[in-house]
Amino acid sequence: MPQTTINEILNKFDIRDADIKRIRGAAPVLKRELDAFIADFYTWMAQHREYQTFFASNPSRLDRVKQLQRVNWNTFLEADLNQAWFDARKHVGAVHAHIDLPNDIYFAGMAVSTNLMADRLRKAKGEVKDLDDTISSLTKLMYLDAFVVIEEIARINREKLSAGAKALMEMSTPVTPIWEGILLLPLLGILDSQRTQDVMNKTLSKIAETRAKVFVMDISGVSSMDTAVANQLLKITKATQLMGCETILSGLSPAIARTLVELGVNIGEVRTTATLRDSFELALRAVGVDRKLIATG
Amino acid sequence: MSVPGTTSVTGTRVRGCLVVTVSQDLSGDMLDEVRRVALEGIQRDGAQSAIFELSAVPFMDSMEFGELRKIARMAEMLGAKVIFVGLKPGIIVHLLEADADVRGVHAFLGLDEALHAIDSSPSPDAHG
Repeated sequence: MPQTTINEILNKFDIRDADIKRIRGAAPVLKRELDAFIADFYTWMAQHREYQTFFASNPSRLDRVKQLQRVNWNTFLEADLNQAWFDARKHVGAVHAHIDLPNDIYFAGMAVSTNLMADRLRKAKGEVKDLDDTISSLTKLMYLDAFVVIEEIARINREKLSAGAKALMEMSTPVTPIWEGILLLPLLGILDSQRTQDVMNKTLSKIAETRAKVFVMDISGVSSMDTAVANQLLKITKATQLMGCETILSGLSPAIARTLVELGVNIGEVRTTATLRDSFELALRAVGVDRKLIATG
Repeated sequence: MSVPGTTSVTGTRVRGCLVVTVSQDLSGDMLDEVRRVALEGIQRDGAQSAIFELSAVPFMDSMEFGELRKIARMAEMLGAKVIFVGLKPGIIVHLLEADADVRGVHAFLGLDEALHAIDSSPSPDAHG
């Protein structure tokens, strides 16, 4: 993250040099109280079910997390708001994303931490100058800390979602060679423009790769058909034709046939069959499989 | 036997078929050159079929494709059946997105398949 971006973020959170100076001024008091502060935090945490989920069965994990928290708060109070400070917060976010920590307990924990620190500053009133302003500065930095952590969690979740969507797209267009020179694509569910585009790209590259002569597109699992989808499917048949590969559309239900006719979609010279079996037979004949083999098979 | 031409469009006779190989995109004077090489080659050699070998063409728009089809129709008037070979998937997607008319186009992925199809199709004489 470049310094200009860091400065922009600090400006948004209204964190000025005076705030950093005040936090650093209060740091000796809070660092002295850090063990007691962490103990209070886990007393609060123990009242919530997340404590049971994450720590009850694993006391060594609790010790490790307390140790990490000590390091985290030390760097927080040093308020050296550089790349390393942001990276450390992002790491916290990555850990929280990994263990799937609920947002409510995280935000509640940050609020409790802010109050616990403010209480300690109030008790050490004589040692801290400008108490109210210091608590205000501390709160701003807490918000910034929470933002960086949550932003990292959101980024990781976005990545997971995008990877999931990509995997789903891969699975939804399984163009498979089923015989020498024959490709089959069983289509299921809803066809939209993005998916038909994906079908087109996958089919053409698979034809180029396998040098297939016949492409059987089975639409018996397609839930609905409208003019746009029908035209997209026809485009795919024309595209395969330009690669020397004939498309057979199989699995046309009576309802889809009726819809196509009523919508006035002209399917032209595209070969269609009601069942996948019929398409397969046509495809085998097209690639020159012996008629007797088909009859006995 | 080779038909005289530039290095970007060459005409080669293979088993009675004229193979017109285009080795760059069809902008500028390239279409004129394709037309010249194809039509002169068909007329001179009396080729019954012509293959437009386009695997080295990096991109093509719908207008250029339309012009190629016009050349194909001219070739058919001279008595040669025309086959397109080696259109790249990216070009095909673009042509269909641009609603190019591809009805009746004979196409194959590779030269082998196209020559095989020509060899196995009945000759015009067989139909009388």
